[in-house]
Amino acid sequence: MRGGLPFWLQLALGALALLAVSILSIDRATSEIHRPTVGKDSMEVTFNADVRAILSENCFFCHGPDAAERKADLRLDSFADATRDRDGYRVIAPGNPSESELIARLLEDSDEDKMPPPDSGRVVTDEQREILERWIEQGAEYEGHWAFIPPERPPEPIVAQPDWVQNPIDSFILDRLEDNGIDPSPEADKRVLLRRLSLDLTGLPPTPEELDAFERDDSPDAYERQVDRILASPHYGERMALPWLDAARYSDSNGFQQDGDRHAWPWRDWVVDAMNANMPFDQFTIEQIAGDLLLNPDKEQLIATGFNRHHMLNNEGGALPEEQRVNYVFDRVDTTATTWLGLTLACSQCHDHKYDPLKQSEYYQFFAYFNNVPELGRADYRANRILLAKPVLELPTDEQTQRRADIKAAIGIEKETLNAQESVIAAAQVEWEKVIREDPPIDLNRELYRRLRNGIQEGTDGTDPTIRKYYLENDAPDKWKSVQKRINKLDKELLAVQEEIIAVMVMGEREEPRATHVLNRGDYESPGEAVSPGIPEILNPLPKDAPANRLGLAKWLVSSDNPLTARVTVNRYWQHHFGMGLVKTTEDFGVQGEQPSHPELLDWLAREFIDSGWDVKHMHRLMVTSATYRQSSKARPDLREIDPENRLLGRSPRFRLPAMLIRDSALFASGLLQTQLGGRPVYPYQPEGLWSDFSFEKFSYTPSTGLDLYRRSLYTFWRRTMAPPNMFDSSNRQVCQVNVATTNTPLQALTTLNDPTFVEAARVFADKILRNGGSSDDSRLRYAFLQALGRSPTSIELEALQAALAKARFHYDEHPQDALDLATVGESKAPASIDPGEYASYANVAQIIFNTDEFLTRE
Amino acid sequence: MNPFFERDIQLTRRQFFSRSATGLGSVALASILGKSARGEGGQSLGQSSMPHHFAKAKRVIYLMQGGGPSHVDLFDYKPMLGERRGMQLPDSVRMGQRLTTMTANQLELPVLPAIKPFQRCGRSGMLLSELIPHTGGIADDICVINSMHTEAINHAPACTFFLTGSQIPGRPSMGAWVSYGLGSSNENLPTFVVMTSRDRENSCGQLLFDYYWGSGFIPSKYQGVRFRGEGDSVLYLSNPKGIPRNLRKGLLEDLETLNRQKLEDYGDPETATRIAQYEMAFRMQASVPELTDISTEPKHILDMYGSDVHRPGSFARNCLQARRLAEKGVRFIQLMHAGWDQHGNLPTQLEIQCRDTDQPSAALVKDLKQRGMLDDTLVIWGGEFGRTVFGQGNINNKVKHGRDHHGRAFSLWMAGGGIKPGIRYGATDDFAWNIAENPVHVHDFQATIMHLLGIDHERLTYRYQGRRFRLTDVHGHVVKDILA
Repeated sequence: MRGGLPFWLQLALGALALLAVSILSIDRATSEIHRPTVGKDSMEVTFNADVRAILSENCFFCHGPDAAERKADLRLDSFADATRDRDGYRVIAPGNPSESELIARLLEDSDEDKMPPPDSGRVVTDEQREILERWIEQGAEYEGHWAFIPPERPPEPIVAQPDWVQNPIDSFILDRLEDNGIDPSPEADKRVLLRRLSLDLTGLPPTPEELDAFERDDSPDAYERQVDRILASPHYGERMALPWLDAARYSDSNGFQQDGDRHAWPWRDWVVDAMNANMPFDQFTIEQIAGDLLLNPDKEQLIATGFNRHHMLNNEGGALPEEQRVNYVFDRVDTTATTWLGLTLACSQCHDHKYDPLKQSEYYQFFAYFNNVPELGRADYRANRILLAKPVLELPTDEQTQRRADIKAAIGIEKETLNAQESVIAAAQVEWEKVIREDPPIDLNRELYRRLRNGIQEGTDGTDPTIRKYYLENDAPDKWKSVQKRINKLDKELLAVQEEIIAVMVMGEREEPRATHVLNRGDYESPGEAVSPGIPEILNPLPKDAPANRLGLAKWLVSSDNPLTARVTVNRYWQHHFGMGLVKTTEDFGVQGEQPSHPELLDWLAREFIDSGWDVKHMHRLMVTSATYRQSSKARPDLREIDPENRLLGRSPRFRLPAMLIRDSALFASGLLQTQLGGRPVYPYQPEGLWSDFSFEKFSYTPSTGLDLYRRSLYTFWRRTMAPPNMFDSSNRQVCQVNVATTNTPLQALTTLNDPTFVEAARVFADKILRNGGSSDDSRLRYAFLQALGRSPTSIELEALQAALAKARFHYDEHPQDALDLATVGESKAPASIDPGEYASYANVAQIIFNTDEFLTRE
Repeated sequence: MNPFFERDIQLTRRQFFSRSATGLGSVALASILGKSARGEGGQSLGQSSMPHHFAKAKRVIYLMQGGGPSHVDLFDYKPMLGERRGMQLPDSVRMGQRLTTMTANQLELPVLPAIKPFQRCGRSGMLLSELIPHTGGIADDICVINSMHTEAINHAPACTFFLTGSQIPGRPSMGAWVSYGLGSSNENLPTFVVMTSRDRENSCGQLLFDYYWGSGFIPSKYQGVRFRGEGDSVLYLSNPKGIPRNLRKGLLEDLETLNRQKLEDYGDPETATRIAQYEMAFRMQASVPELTDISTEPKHILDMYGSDVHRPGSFARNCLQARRLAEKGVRFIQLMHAGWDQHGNLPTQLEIQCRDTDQPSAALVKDLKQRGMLDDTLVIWGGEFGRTVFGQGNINNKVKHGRDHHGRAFSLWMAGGGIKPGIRYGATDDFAWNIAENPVHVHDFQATIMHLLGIDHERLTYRYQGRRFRLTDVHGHVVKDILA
């Protein structure tokens, strides 16, 4: 990156960078706990809470950590540089805003001298300028960025309403609410609460029986026992795996032009199992990042390393392997940095980071950890539609292992027969080649002909294996030909066995380390200085005994003084249960990321996570048993103005379920859902021709049949070129995503109304209603509502359902054929014993229930 | 009909339609169809500062030609190639530039001149291949850029680069940026529509990717909506068998009653939006099929686009459809046609490709022009890169040879929407290999499109991962010389 600079200047810049780092590390030691940023106003201004965001957004691009882009030799991210004397003036004069050039430039009118420059599109508002003035007046103290300072366990705040507090989470939440004069919301209705809990922890709604039991249970720990019950459910692992799969960009195909299939699912099952077994997060981390480097890793630990092999694979004709290989390493770096560290490390791939103190060379030091995989940048393992890149771990069954060994042995015997006569065969082949060159047979392929022709030029000893095979198959004496035929047959059998064997991509480590260089502008063709593996200097140092490989990196990620991993992880758990992280920018904990809404709570949770031995279920239990979590999610007019985003959590959030869970819920209500865990992906319904359309007829989609149509959405085959069309608002599974937006569009309405999955679920549900819902319309409608939503309808709701039923009946009375047609959507057979009109009418009602706001929402 | 619930239906029906005309319906519609929630009243509010300047183009029709059309054969006439046929491409021209692995090991790089002659077209005498006579017919309306260049060398990264500004998937596509920035101008249709087609021979190995029209990290409501050529034109648009529209409508009214109860109880604005989205979904079920039904088009218009227009899913049909969408106010219409990847079948397939695309493309421009819409509709025709001047395979084999990918210089054309008509811009060297003057990088091309739409490409940004992202990354200059 500094290729063109004279050596002395490089040294000077390096020294400057070192200086800056040392300043920041001093700041880091003296920093205090952050103050709240929502809902309060105060005269006192601090760097982290008020100033950094303004400077970072508007100034750091040219006056920040990136040495290459720095203008006017000025760093506004460094106290020393911003306050140094510049021939009679200072950019920041602590205590004296009117003497500070920074303020003068903000006030400047002329386009030439104004800062930020008008063409940058950045604007510092008057209010922001006043904050800067106040900060300079108070001494212009810098602080290290909060997220780079290891969390310490803050004391639990003393609150005015201690009775409300269920666990320390609530003290932190209530403290802020009380500061702002807000009362928490009342606890949610028991049925709502159990539904919320079940959906959050297992992705499935509770059964009416479970709801009844909970409602009847008035023991003091009734709720906690529900939490324990649900945490022990095997579906807990399925639910918790979903966000992890998004982060890991898990997919069943490679993406790009060929988009071959891959067996990724053994890794997916590993994740579900690990979640269910409550594997501590440090172990969960180490096995995925470096399972292959553990002492005598077992099969599971190798499968775990698939995390870093879920990147896309480009095997397009013409793709340059080294370019692709480097892209894969980039992807691993970015995914690891986002998932564990909440760092936008990718921003320093081409230059020093514009905002965070991350140097480009540090990016490549991190890169070096992932650059040592014995891989070629090609998809070099094929078995039928499966297209993988080595290293690959085969997972044959015992039977397959045996079968493969048997066939290989048989081939060995046949080959031995030929080997014994090698010199005779070679001599015969040389003679044959002479003849065939003169008069090549019509069906001789071009490649073979080329080899034969070259043979003339280069001479031949009759051992070219390709020509040999052709000779033995076609023109050799029968005694040899028959052997070759048997070998061919065995080869085919071997291939068939091979194609059935599950093979997964895993990580491996080259014995001879691959050299890593800084890549200028991120270009694999422009290597710069050589670097060795390492982590960004701004973060905690590597543990003393850490090996200089991925295992060392993994241990560093989960070392107790890592400032980011625990915070980033508990923040995602928070996002899971509360719809939004304490740090809203789940993907960015750097200086451009959002400040936490409750910094002390975040640190408390992070510390608790580490001190608990990275106990994941413990953290989820803490969150869902808090009074904060148990509040009602009803909107409160008094909060709309003060806290429109509900950051203070004066109520529980209410949000639409992920599309996968909406589908699961509909299947569950109808009784169609198959609840077994794991295994190969399945192919539920999708509109005809969709895949072939996308692939220009190279792929066709054959839906599963039978029970595989009704597996949980987690198990749906995920093709990267064409994600399952009914799973709207999903992560794209192309690159790491830890924060998926929830939108609300008419296309989603069309999906849940018209997708055969939902239509079939509705009519199968109708069957259930008619069989189990009693004999009157009222009891049936109540039953339907209860089964789907977990509660009884109000009188107005019941009327609406009655009206819907009446309209449907009226229609099917007049149009009996429509009723018969509806009964054919989806594979399930309509029950012969039930009147088709009634069946269709209730199916329509069921559809309406499946499309209520409540059914689609976790509330 | 049972009088009891007939009254009931009347009541809710009145509510249903009164709201959908203005009021709640349209505000919420704004949110899905690309308008920002901040937009009030009016039809076309996107981000509040938009547009940055006067927009000469109100909409874009991008006829993406996937596979890499050969600029050497179609747009970039090089007279001296004829006498050099079969001679090695000079090293002084290639300058060690990388080749794809498909030809990196090819021993010879023999010059292969254009396979068909060029002819002078239009008042300017623009030289275009006789393979594209209809394009020749609109020579006075188009601006041919001969100096496009890209860093990408393979299809998927190159297309991704053209459509999202980055070779690696994950960024918002151009149409998504436009929807996000400018919002919608039709409440019954999406802001950004995509249609796909391929050559009938299916000679291309490429795939389509939904991120070609994806929204990346900006909300998914801005992503393109794909209109399909077969089945439902929009996924899940049709009601299931056995639930006709009138029945569905009645039931949706009851659904609305249920959802209004919920809204009253919980007061969640998302519930109000959901009610509106269900109304919108119902309306789209009528508006979309109406749009895709071409039976009202007069014969002389259909004839302009060629006989392929009668085949749903064909490029010709999509071109006609694009005009209809443009008329309805859809802002960004992206046609993805694949079929130009002629590595080994140039002598046969190039002509077929031209036949399939030349007439409809030109017809679209003429059709827009005769309706007075060309002035504010920007039409773009081009692929993700061009093709090498050297032949791939044995160029003396009559049918089996072709050209490899070439991104260092290639051509595309633009028309209407504030583009200077009837000109040629930029030039390549004698081998159509390197750019000789006025290079236009993909980011420049994108900056120019944005400019014509009234958007300053440096100012339309979205904050993600602590950074303000934009379509053109940190690059791009508006190509002022081609602006009318």
